Amino acid sequence: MRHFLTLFSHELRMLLIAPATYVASVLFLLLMGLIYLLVLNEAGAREADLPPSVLFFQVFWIPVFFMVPLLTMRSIAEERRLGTLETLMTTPATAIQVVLSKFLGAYVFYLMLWGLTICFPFIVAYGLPGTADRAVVLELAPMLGGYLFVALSGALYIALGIFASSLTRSQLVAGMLSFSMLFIIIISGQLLLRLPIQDYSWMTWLESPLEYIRTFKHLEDFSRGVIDSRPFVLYLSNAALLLGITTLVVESKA
Amino acid sequence: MSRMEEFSYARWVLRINRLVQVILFISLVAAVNYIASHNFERVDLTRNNRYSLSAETLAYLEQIQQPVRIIVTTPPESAPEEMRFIFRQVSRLLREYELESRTKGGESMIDVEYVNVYRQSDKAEELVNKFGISPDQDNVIVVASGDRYKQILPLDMWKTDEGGVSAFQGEQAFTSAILDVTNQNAKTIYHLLGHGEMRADDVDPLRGFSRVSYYLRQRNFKQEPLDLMEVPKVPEDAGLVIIAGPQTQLLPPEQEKLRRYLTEDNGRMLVLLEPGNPHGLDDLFYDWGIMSDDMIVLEASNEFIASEGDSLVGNFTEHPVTKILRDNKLKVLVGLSRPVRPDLGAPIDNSLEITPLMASSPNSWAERDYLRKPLQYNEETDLAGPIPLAMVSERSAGSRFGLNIPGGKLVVFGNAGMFSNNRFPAAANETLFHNLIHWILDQESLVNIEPRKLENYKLSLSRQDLIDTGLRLLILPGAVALLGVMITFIRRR
Repeated sequence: MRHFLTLFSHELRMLLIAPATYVASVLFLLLMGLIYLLVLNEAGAREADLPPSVLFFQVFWIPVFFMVPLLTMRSIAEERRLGTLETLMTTPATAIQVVLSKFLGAYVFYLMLWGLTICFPFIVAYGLPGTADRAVVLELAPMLGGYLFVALSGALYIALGIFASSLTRSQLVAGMLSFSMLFIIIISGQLLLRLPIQDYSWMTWLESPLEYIRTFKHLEDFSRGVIDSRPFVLYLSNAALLLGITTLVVESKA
Repeated sequence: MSRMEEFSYARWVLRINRLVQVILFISLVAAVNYIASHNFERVDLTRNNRYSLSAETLAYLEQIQQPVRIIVTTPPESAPEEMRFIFRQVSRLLREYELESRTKGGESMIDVEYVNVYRQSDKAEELVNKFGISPDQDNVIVVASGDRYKQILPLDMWKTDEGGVSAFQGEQAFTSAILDVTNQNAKTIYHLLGHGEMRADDVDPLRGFSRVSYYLRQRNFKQEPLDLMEVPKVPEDAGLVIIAGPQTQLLPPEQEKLRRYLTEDNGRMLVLLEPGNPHGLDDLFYDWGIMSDDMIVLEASNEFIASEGDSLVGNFTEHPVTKILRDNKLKVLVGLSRPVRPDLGAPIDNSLEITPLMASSPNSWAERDYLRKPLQYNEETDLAGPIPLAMVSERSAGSRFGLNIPGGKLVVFGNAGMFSNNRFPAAANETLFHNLIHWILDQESLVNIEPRKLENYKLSLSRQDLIDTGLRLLILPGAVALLGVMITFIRRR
């Protein structure tokens, strides 16, 4: 535990003092701010059956696709390329502690970035003249559910990035690998239904597992304010699985 | 040197060991996910539980014994926004039905199928051939179970008022449809014949009962004619016997058969009487604490008289049948009516509960000598208003083992014309009939599902507001950038 804390606090410290962190944060917040503004523009233009925060979370995959590979591709691949992973493994720290500290470092940063976007609705609400508009922007249940979903799914996505990073020495390959895997797990369920297939009847057995893993279904529930227990198990158990496999990979390659 | 000490051999053992660990780990996670996918909980955090099903629906879903298929056609990409909006609302609601109808094994009793008619030709064919849907119809929703099926029309799901669509009553539509198609032992509604009653196949505006019959057919009720002189007793599958406006008296043997049906078989009966015609049900009514004597209810106040001399009745008592009418201050259109009142001389019976449903205005009176003109209130012979126009008499069959067994139900209206073809769609007559049928057949829980108010989110933002908001949103990245610059500066020093 002591070794893990040492490694984790090192990860955090490096994160907080690196200029790259702030550059990435500013770019992320500018992008998210722009998306939020577009959502508000849409909500002002026509009546919708969903509050703006739900629409905001519907595009959560845009930051995920570029943020997660960028955040995680360096973590283990870089250590292996520089040869520091072997050094690290000669210390009393175990592989699982190394992997967990890398994971938590990236995950905390991911949560922090998303956490900052909570300020958007408040900044907007307190600038708006009408209290009715304020209530629309600040509807609590969708915000709570949406951020919970981001936190849960983020655990899996970051674990996936760390896993990709453990497979190769090249940051670029790790980044591409994690992007491809994210694309598959987030979009594939949705895309399968759009394939130019004449007859779907042979795929009916896939229906229920696909339904279970369909990211956008879970997102829809959570961002409306309906909390379901299944995504908790799905995302957390698979994150644990990926971290477990990453540990085995690190052990075997170090 | 033992084999275990050989380097290459040990490496293989290690690899296999890792592989086994990975496989075990994957199996464990798969098992956990499998269990989780079948056993889960959902919590609705929204105000008023906007996305949850009502308690009535949940109670009903628990009782479903056989699988229900709900087939919904998906709108094409080019469909107008309204159609896609309806589809979104429906699919959201059906997801809740599917999830809530899980049995203990985790399988859902309600299976929702989304059909793209352009790509799933077999399903499209099934819709046309099995469920009789016209091939060019959009927005098709069919609820089916076994051989029974019902189509839900978009109109059934929207409640409209002067301002357009005001509420979404999809839950009411789906729950009623599921109830209809799963109710395998649905009982038959018998229409009594032989005394000049209003007939179910008659399209006459004044004496026809075809609209009511169509209404019942749409709700999957089986209907049959009944001539009591031809059968030894009321058939056993009778869920309800309707006696609509008899012109001549029922004979004593007929009355006896009905009396047995009500008392011994815990039967249900709806009697619509007409003023001026003797009904011959006096003894039966006496048993059930009701009296409908040969009088006519006359209205003196213009406020309650509609065109063509009909009365508007808005005086309802507290009862499940009249609750919605009472709460929403609705009125029903009633023609010339006879009083239907509690029989004060009937023997006291604790198992009997008698409730008046509606009454005329306080300015009305019941005229006994209605053939003599001019009609005038006579204190000695006439009854002073308000006069009860409909009575409900309910007998509990006793409670055994803590269960309250429902007994017979008798509803008597002093007017039959209010459900005739021309008055049935007028005022709140259809609503009253709807509630009455559901209550009398013990399906009244469905009457109370509240339509959901449509939530619309719109911001009133001008272009300038939007620019200001955009500038305000820059505060956050600006602050982070400033922090970054400060930390870099401090580190450099």
